[in-house]
Amino acid sequence: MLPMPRTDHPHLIFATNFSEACHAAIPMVAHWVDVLQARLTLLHVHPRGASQQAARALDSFFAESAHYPDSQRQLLSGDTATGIAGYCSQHPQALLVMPPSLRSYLPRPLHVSLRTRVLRELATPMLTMLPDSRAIPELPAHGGHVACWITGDEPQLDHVREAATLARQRGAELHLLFVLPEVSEGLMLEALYSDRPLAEPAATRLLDDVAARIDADVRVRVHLGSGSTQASLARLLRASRASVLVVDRDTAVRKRLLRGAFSSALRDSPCLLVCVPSRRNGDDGSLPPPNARSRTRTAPATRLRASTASAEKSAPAWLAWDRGPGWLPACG
Amino acid sequence: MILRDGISLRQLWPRTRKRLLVLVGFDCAVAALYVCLDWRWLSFDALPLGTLGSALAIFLAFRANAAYGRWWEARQLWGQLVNTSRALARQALTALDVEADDPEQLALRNAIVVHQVAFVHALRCHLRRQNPFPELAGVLGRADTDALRRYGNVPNALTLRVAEQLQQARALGMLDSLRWSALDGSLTTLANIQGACERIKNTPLPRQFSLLPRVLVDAYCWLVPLALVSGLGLFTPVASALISFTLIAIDTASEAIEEPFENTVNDTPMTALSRSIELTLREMLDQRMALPEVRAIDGYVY
Repeated sequence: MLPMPRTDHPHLIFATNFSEACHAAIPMVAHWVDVLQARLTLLHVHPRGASQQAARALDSFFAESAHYPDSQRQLLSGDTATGIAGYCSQHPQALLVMPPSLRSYLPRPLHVSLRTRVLRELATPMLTMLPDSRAIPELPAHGGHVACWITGDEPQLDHVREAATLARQRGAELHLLFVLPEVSEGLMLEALYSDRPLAEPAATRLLDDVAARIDADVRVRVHLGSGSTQASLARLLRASRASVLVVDRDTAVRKRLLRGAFSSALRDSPCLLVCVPSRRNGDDGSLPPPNARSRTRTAPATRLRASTASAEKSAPAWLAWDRGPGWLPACG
Repeated sequence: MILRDGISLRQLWPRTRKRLLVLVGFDCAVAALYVCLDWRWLSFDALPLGTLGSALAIFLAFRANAAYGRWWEARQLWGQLVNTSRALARQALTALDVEADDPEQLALRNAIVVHQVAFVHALRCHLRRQNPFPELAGVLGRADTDALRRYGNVPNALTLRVAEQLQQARALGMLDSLRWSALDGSLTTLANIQGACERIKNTPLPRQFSLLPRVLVDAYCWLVPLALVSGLGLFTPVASALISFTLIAIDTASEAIEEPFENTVNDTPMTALSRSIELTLREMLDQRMALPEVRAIDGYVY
C-alpha cells in the first residue's frame, strides 16, 4: 500500500455501547481512519450515575486508538439517542459510525432500534452496516466503487453529492442505481402521489440529468433495474462491485406502524451503508406528506442544484468539500 | 476472552436457534401424531439411545478437545510473546554498549525497544486482519510507518527492521558477535511465535472433525423424540428439547473457540496483552505514558 495523500481531515465519531458488534466493527473503523486520514472520536452515552464504570469501559474499548494521531474519547450521560445526535450536531462535518446491534432473534414487538432512533434525529451522515453482514467490505485505499441509490422520492439529493465527494476523494467510480417499480395497478395510484419515474425512459432521463451535473473528474455509471426492489438492488450492487452504498436517510429508514425501521430493501445489500440526512433548515427529519410534495414539485436536477447551494451555505460535508467549478453548473 | 461466570443465553440463542426450533417443531409433531392420531408406529422404544449417546459423547469430546487445543495454544503463544518481548527489551537495554553522551547510540537502543512494541501491535492487527498503520503512526511516527506500507506482512518487516538496527549497532561498535547472536536468537523466537500464530489462523480444524459431530448431533436429536414418545406422550418435546439443547450448545461452544484470532469474545485477549507489553517495555525505557490498562468490559476482555 502506498502512503495516503493527505487531504482535509474528515472526522469519524464512533458511537459505542461496547457490544460485540462494536468490537467487530473496529477493523473497519481503523481502515477508514487510515484511508481517509480521519480524526476519530469514541463516543459513549451512559445512563446517569454510571460514569465511573462507563469511563473505565471507554478507556478499555478500542484501546489501540489511544495511539491514533488524532483521536479522543467522549463520555456523555443521559438519553443515548439524544446524546449521540446532540454531540453530532455540534460537529456537522463529522461522519457518525454506528454498527447495528446483534440480532437477538426473539420477538420484540414495537421495538425501535437505537440506530434508527439516532438516524431520525441526526444531522450528519451515518456509516453503518447490516446486522447480518458476515464480512464487512473494505474501502480500497484508492479506486474502487461507490454506489448511490436514487429512489426518486428523496426530498433532496444530498446523498448524491456525498457519494460524488467520496468517489472523487478515493478516485473511485460512482454508480447511480435506480430500481423501477414492478408494474401493477398500484402504479396508477403511486403516480398521483410520487415524483419518482415509473418507466425506463423517465428513469434514464433522471439519472442522466443527475450524472451530467456531477463533476467531470468523477467517473459515473448509471444502472437501472426493475422488479422487486430488494432483489434488484442487491443485483445492481453486485454488478457495480461497490463497497459503499450511499442512501438518503429517509430511504434507509421507513416508517412502519408506530415505529421506524431500516428499509427491507437494503437487507441483501453486501455494502457498507452511508445514510445521509437532507441538510434542510428546520428539518424535522420526516418526509413532507405526498400532497405537500406535489405542490412544490420540482425537477430532480433543480432539486439537486438547490440542495447543493443550500448545503454549501449551511454545513459542510464530512469529507473534503467539493467546490470545483464543474460541480452542478447553472442549469440552462 | 470471557471472564464472567455463567452462560449467556442471549449469546447462545442466536447460534442455536435454527437447529433448535426445527427440532422442537419435529418433537411437537411426533408427540401430537402419537397421542392424538394414535400413530403407534412412530415409537422406537428399542432405540439404544444410551449407547448412541455414549458414542456421540466421544466425538463431541474429541472435537471440543481439538478446539480447546487451538485456543490454548494461541494463549500460550501470546504468553511466550510477553516473555520474549521483555527479554528482548532487557537485552537491548543492557547488552548494548551505549556512550552516555552519544545521542545516536541512545536513540538506536531505544528504537529497538519501541520497534518491539510496534511488532506486538502489528502482530495483533495482522492476526485480526486489521489495518495497523494508524496505530503504528502513533508508536513509530508517520515517516517510519509509511515506509512499512509496502510490506504485506508488517510484523515480519518489523523484525527485519530490528535486525537491521542490531546490524547498525554492531557497525557502531555497540555489540560484539556473542551478544548479537543472543539478540538475534530472541528475534528468531519472535518469528517462530508469529509463524505459529499464522498457522493457527490459516489452518482450520479439519472439516471432518467439525462436520461429523454436527451431523451426529443432529441425527441423535432427531431420534430422541421417537425413543421417548411412548413413555412421555405429550411431554416428549420438553425432554427432547432439553437433551437437544445440551448437545447443540456443546457443539456450538466448541465451534466458537476454534478460531482464537477472529476478534470475537472468544479471542485470545490480544489487545489487553499487547497493551500490557507496551506498558512494561515503556517502563523499562523510563517512558511512562498515560495509557490505561485494558480491562474487562461486561465480563469480556479483548
